[in-house]
Amino acid sequence: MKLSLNWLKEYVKFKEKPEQVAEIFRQGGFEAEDIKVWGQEFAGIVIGQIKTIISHAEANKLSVCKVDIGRTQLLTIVCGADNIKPGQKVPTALVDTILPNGMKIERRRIRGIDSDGMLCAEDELGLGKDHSGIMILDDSLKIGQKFSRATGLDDTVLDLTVLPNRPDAYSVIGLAREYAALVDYKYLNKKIAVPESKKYSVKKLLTIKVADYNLCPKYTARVVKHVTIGPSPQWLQARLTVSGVKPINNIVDISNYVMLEYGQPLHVFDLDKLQGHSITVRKAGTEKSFVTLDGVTRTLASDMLMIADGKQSIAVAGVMGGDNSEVSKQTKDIVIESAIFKPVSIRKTRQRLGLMTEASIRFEKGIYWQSPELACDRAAQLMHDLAGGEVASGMIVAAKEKATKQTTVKVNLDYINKIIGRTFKLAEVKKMLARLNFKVTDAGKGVLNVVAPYYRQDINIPADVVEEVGRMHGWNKIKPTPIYGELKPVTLSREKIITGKLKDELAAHGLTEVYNYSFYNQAMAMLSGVEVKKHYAVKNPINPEQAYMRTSLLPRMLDNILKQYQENESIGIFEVGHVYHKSTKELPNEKIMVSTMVYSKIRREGMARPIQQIKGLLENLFGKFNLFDTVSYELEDSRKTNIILNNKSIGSYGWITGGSEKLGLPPVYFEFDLGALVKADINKVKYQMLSEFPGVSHDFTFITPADVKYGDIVREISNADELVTSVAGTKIYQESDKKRSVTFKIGFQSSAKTLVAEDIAEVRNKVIKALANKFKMELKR
Amino acid sequence: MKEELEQIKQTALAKIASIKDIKSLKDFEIKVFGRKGDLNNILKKLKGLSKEEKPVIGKLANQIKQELIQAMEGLKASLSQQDTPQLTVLDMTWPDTGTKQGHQHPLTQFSRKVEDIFISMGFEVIEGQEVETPKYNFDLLNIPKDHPARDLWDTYYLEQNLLLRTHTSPMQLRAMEQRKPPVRLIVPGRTFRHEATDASHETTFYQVEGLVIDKCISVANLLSTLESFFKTLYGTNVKIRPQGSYFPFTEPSMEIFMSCLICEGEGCSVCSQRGWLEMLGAGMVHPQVLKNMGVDADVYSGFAFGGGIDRMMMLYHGINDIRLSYRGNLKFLEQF
Repeated sequence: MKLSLNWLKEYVKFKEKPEQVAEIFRQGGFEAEDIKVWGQEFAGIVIGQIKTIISHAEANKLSVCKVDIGRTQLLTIVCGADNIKPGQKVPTALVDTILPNGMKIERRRIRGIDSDGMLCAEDELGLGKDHSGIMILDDSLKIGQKFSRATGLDDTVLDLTVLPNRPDAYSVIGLAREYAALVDYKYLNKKIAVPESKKYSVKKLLTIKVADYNLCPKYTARVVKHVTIGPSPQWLQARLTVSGVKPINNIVDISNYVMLEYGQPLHVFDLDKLQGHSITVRKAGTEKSFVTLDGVTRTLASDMLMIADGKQSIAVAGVMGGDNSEVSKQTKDIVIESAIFKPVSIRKTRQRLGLMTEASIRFEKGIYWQSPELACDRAAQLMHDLAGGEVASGMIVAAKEKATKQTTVKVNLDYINKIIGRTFKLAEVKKMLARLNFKVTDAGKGVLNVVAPYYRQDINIPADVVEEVGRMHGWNKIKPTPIYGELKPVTLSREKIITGKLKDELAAHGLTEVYNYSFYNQAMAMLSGVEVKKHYAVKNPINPEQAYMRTSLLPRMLDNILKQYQENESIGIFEVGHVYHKSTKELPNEKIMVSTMVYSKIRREGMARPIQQIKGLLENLFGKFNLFDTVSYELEDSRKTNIILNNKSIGSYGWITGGSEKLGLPPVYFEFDLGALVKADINKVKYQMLSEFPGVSHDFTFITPADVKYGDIVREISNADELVTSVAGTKIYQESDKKRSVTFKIGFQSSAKTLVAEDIAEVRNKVIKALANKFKMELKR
Repeated sequence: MKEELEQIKQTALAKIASIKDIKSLKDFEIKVFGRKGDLNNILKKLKGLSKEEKPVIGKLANQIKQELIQAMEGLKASLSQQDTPQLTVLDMTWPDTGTKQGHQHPLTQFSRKVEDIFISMGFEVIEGQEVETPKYNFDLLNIPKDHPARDLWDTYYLEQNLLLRTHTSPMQLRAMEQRKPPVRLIVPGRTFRHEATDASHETTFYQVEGLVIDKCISVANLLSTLESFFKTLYGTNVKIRPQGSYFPFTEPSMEIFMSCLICEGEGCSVCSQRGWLEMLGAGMVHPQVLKNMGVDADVYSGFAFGGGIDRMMMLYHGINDIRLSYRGNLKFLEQF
């Protein structure tokens, strides 16, 4: 909220510089996003009064003005605008001035006449877009005074963030009360005196009916007769301008002014445009559409709260008025609406209409109970003073209940001290709360009965009072104190430990970790291996890349490679991240997957090399967790092998063929479920007694049918005899369509003796026999 | 005998100086120290000496033996170096062309740093699911439906009334379903915000959530814990500063600022001339939220905090665009 410091000064006298004011507000929890100094851009511009105007002898579009700027001599200024008249007061830029739009004013000879300056239009001063004529100023302004001072634009404005729990502070008076409390200054309360005219009574002019007190707990109205619509005085225009609101006419400006000052949105209707001079607050019901005052036709929902006259809707309650009841130049009699609408209802309505207004923002935050009457009076007073209106006597107040109960919060001093962590004395606390206008009474035994002022609806529980004490004392004055507590050993979860080890291991193998988004587009969903319709769809994606929640990390990893393969010889990446599968339970079946993808343009080691490397990597990983012998691999097809743990597939490795066409040789991958690894029985390493006797290893090459799987062969060899201590495949070669030649290195060792040739020959025969029987494998000689 | 010993020593030293290859050195070693070597032959004569002479001569013999061993070892070392000329390479600093080490993501590395600090202060580290229900993401955290406060969290929604968690705070509630105070834990994890991205905003980012519940936990404890954390993370020069704020799930609430790492409070472009950087939201757990956790608010109090790990990491490395972390760009990732 933009806070004018000139305005603030009306409610609290202070000497601090703007930066200091901002700092004090910051400590109170109101941060200044920006400090804008107004007026400097108007240096060299003064109030001038046009004395005479004669047309330029040599140019009929130009006139020559004599302008009084309070010096002994009048200035001669050549001007091209046609809206000027003698007697008018206008912004006059003196020679050497640089205007806010960058134009430099110089003494110039214009068609033979020296011009000593320039009369300015709105746009030239950066105050608007209007270039239709010279800006005509208020008659009351003092000749020769600085333009900024005279117009009230010599101001500094803090753009303060008001927290959502403090709707009362979303106003000039609210911030003034806050500032006074923070610095311990006096808040200058202004009593509003409404000069009512006995000629008129509001009750005779207007009837109000609230049909839904739930959505509109309070509705107040006043009528102001015979106003003169015209521009607002300069000071008021300046207040609005620096506060970011565009001045329109005195009546609309007053309603905006009061909204900024009191935080209460007002609406003004033209009384004569109200059918039956009546107002009903009701839901839209069967009404289907409504034209708001910005000229847009809005589609209504039946439960939207509307303001209606005797015949039709005249405003969307708390959001925007209608063009059918808008105040115009011809308006004579004004209805001021000052009400409370239920925040939830306003919020839903403005969301559905896509229409956020200054009014709706404030209604959504919540209006305190006493606010409508105060603001209604203030607006009536200003319309009397500034628009010459006659205020009809009385105010209509339609309300659900007379007054809201004031809540008394019982707070224990010990509680305050415990939560803040500092020992305050009772008197200190009382004093700080008194600065905020809290009524505090001693209930004995260190208990305080605290009643917050009527505008503080956010104070309901003891913790709220604690916050006020802390804020007033200053959070940054609280001395940090270490926690005293039980010492408990903490260990990371298995999941964290395993994840950490995996990442270390994968990086050590030369792979680089990527983080990808959790959602992907439809094409990627199609590559995931899970049907698109089995994906969670994002209901409100910002773009098509966010259409579905991923079920595999691979599609985006492939995308990572596709985006960079041209500039890299080879790419090896890994990711550990969540995937989301549909489930019958309340929450998705969320899994953490460990995935790697490796792409290489280097083929000198043969086509099979990448797949062997990725398998080797997997074996190393599982070896790290002592699962080397527990995990097995089951060939699914020529592109994919399943990784089996405890008889269940926990993932796979293979070639990425879909979507990788332009890469030439496809990348290889593995992906498995981390959770399965976390749940697996990871045994402690159990020491195997070392044999004192030497071992030997021999190479065996077999001719084998092509459908025999590696894992089965290894198992068969290992089980052939207890002297077999190690088996590893070292070479594989395709002999023909149905035959392969495979080489194994088999180790033999005994724990009882040194093996002699006969022992080895015996085992060797067992192995050969077993493989021949089981798989029809033949030793190649 | 003394003279004999001296004689052996002198001859041996002279001989050692003239030896040029390792083979002759070994032969000579045997000639001097061998069972039938010069030294042993002399020592055999020790028997015939008097009680007074024996220790003197014995000692001398030993001394000479040591001297000779030293001389021979020195020569052996220099001879064996000469012996392996094939180890000479053109440039020993030439790099290997094999597999290079890979890189863990800067967010992984930085999260570990953050976790390690909290573990050292007795905090558990827990993680949780990324898809949540409105109940845990909002309701139980005292953020009622249709309350303007919900606007603080722009949310991605999925079908079946699910959403992508907008903060790690739901895990406070889920963690407390399985725990009783005293509790000290942090929750690092991925979170989502439904918003347009730019250099400082991402739809996807990482948060770390903290929760401490015990008897007599105070704002002073909160400040101390976070001060220790930031000083350990960024160095002991940093200062922290609390500022009043509002969150529905804490009361009182505050934001924690840290003195700018670049300008140390003077004001620079990194801190938008403020001298301070907003690092975390924090506060005392709201009594209603304590109740929702099943904790007796009359007995226990607690503090909670939450902040962006991306931002902390970016500050640490001087990264100016949050989106870089999620692009899989190797030129970026390989720097860490």
